[in-house]
Parts: sequence; structure tokens; C-alpha cells
Amino acid sequence: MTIPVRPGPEGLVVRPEGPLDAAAARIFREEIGRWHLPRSTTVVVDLDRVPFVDSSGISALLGLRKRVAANQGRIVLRNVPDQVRRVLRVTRLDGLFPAERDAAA
Amino acid sequence: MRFVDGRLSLLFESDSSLDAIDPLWTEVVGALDHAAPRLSTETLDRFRTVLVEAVVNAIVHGHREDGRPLQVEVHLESGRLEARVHDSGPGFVFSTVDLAPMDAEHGRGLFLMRHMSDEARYRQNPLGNTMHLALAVTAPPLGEPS
Repeated sequence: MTIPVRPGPEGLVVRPEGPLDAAAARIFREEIGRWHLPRSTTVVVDLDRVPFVDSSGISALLGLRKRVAANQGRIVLRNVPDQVRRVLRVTRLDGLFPAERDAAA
Repeated sequence: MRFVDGRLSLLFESDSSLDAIDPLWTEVVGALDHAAPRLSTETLDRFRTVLVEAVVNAIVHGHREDGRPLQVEVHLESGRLEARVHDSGPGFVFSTVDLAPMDAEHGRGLFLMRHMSDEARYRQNPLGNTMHLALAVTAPPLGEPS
């Protein structure tokens, strides 16, 4: 898993690539642990290159959300694949992760 | 790959390492695509979700990441797609499947297995443990591979 991060007009845009499974979630957690998050930052997680997420991947996203929220920021998901949407809905976490309706929004 | 009386049976072996899970799925979905190209994306997504959770549990809680291989069986017949994940470790408790509190960062794997499959059960015995997960599939998906 690679996790490119770039600044965008809306805040930080994170665009992980590859399945966000148990092995990748460990890398994801290590990476985000190294970031310096300015206060009140919006973090956009673009999932267009994440074909699959498991419960470990969801936990990693929750860890990121917790860090962002501790800095008075917010997290937004972009380009959420059906499988990820389904897992968030079944685990009743969809309310915690607002999704953009359109990547261009 | 074996077809017996309209039933497809596949057997896979995986290292008990988290890095081996994605290659294992690539192997499983490749075999399913070949044998049953009419399985829907939604069915394959759900199957991947429950299978991966079962394999993670077998590796982490069953084998404690000890490196010993684990076996995964996939069976497909009219109306049913089933995975059996075997581990030979001490196993784990499958009865607690309450959903974790919303902000908890662990504890959703068993819940996902229960709620993304149509049938989930875990059998423990001294010789090894098996997680059975089955999905109902609507269209008859089987066809002899060319």
C-alpha cells in the first residue's frame, strides 16, 4: 500500500492505493502517526484506488478520524466504492464518515 | 479444481501471514471468475469481505501469526457459495458478535462475518478449527471451464 498525500483547496487529500486490509492497515496507521496535522484541517480520503476494505482498514480510518477530530478538523470520504460503502453501512459507521457526492464537488 | 455432481470444490493453502491474504484472494477470485463468470460483483464483494475476515481471524487468533500454513476451501453449487477456513491453533470465541462501540478501533470482524454472509458458524475441535461462511447466490453460476 502506498499513501500519497497532497495539499488541496479543501485541505489535505489522502489517496491510498491498494486494498486497505489488515496488512495495509498497519502501514496506514504508521504513516498517519507521522503526519503533522494543523488545527481545523479537513482531510479528504480519496478511495478511488482502494478496491477493498476490511475491518482492520475501517479501524485505521477510525484512527485517522480520531486524530483529525482531536485537532478540531474533519474527515470526508471521496469516491467511495460500493464494497466500502456496504461495510460502513453494515457496521453503522456511515454517519461518522461523510462522503462527497461527487469528486468534483 | 474439481467438479463433482455440479459442485465446484477448490482448495487453497496460504501462509499464516497478513501479507499473504491479498495474493490468496487474487487466486480465489481468479478461479471463481474462470469457473463461474456469472457471479455478481456484489456477491464477490461480500464473499471477499467475509473470507478475508475469516482468514485474518485464523492467522491472528487461530495461529497467532506462527507462520504455519492454513487451508481455505471454496465450494460452489447451485444457489450457494461457501468458504471453509481451517486453522490448527487454539481458536477463538465466535459467540460474541455484538457490534463494537462506534469509536472503538477493533471488534468488527466477527460482526461483519455474521452480517455479510447468509450463514456463519465456527467449529472447534482438538485437531483443528473451521469457520464456515456461506452466501446464497441467485442465478445458477456454474459452468464447466473451457
